[in-house]
Amino acid sequence: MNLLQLINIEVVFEQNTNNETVVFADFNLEIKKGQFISLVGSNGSGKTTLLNLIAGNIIPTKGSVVFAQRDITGLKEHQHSHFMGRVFQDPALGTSPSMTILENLALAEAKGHSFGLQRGINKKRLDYYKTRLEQLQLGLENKLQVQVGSLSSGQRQALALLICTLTPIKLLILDEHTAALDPKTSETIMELTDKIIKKQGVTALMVTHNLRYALEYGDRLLMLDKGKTVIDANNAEKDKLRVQDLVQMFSEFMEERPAISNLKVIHLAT
Amino acid sequence: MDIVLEISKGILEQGLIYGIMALGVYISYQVLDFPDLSVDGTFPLGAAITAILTLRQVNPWLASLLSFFAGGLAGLVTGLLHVKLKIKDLLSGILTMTALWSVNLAIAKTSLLSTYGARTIFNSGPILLLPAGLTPWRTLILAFHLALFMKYVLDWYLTTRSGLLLRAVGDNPQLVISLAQNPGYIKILGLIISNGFAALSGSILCQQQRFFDVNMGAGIIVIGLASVIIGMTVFKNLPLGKYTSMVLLGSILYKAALAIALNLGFDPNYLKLIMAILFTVALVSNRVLEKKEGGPKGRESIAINKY
Repeated sequence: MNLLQLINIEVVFEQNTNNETVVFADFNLEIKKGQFISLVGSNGSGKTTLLNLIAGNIIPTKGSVVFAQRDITGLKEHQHSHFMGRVFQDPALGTSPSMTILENLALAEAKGHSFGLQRGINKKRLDYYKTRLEQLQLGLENKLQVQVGSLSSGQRQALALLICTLTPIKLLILDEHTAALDPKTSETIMELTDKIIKKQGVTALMVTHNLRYALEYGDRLLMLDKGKTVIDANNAEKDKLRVQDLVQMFSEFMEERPAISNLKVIHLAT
Repeated sequence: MDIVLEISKGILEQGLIYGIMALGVYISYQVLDFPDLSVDGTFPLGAAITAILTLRQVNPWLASLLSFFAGGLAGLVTGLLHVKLKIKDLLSGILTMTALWSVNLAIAKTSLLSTYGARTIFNSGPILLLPAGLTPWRTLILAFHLALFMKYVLDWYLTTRSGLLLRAVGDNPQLVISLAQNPGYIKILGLIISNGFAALSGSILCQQQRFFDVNMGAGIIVIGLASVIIGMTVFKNLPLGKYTSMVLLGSILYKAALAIALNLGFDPNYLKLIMAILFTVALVSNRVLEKKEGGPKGRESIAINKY
């Protein structure tokens, strides 16, 4: 069953000006329920625009976004948040730095309920929060009263992931969420992400520049170039792909388009 | 000695009354991260409404409450200008402040209105229950309790779900979006509360000094910001608990510094100049102290929860 459908999408930035840029022209994509998709592509290929489209940050100039059989084109970004969560590249975007871990989790758990004058923190939930934090294996369960701003980027990103998935969501969007972390932390967060996705059975769409992650994790791989899908590999096909194959494809696109030379084909180490 | 006592009493009274306004500025500037100049208009708005209502024999407590709501309404306007009409935060405040000048004149019908003889919260109602010996301290006692009450209300509010969301929107609007809430509405709510506090403060000051002056709002934002920044700088490392307490103390300290400057023989015409200099000193020392501590800037450097 399709969870998400992008139908005949057209996205044009700065339409009718000299800077008019067509990112997508008649783009189509279907995401099935339960899929974990890795999305790769060079800078300017449309990955970020695609995520923004799904998250409601950008409204397509043409076409429609259908989520769980419901047309959600034109809904505001915060309305999209009712059924999806997004973890950003910048760990600061997923948490509130001046608030404690406990307050952040209490807010996260209130998602979908009313934000009125009821007590912000329900003491009865402390044990539950601790259990969830223990699963991150970063020792955060003993730091409930610590301000999030004083945590490391890795800890903050792990917390952002937990905040995102604390209430049931149908789609998890991972927006290069390990790119700002050191290799070891990046590895930890990636494993954690995989664990959470498998445990909650949530559909996930992950943009990454780490080609090894793209191949190792998930059950479908998409490569975008100039607003078009150039690879759409499902399980069996994906298993045959090697990092070198993807690098090869990237360089072919690069030759066609020498102007864009800052391809981020990095993170190839082990 | 009597003079020192009298001056100290005046400083405390003024510091506490203006402190309520400073609590409002704390919400907009510190919690919401919104430099809101509307308070220059909402502070005298509270005073104008109170002057007119108390002169017409309206219960002074009711007048204070209505002032709070009127201030909130003005805050709503600033919020709508910013969120719905996409006007920059600073400009939205300036627009409301400018418009309120005329509104205040229209309410009071004159630029200077004495309320001498009218019933106020300081000369009627519950305050009369105090023993006669405490009569000279009435104003201070009531101002103290009002400021403390407003502080506790704000402290309580900031621990509710709505309050947590308010803190989140100033910290990271994206998180509020992720929580499926509209950050614009939360900002508007914050501005309503903030300007309610400012108008209530103006209302109480009007009752204490027994007149409304259309100019009484000029530079209020500077007093408010200075109180917030002085309070949070000077008392940051003392075990005083919450930021709201520090803001109230900052307000008293600021009034004290002004009083000392004036008593040292400075010409009162230089009042605003002295205010600006004091504020500059507070801002610079804030940064110097932060550098010494080696921490990152502003709110991030604060390691324990003081909300």
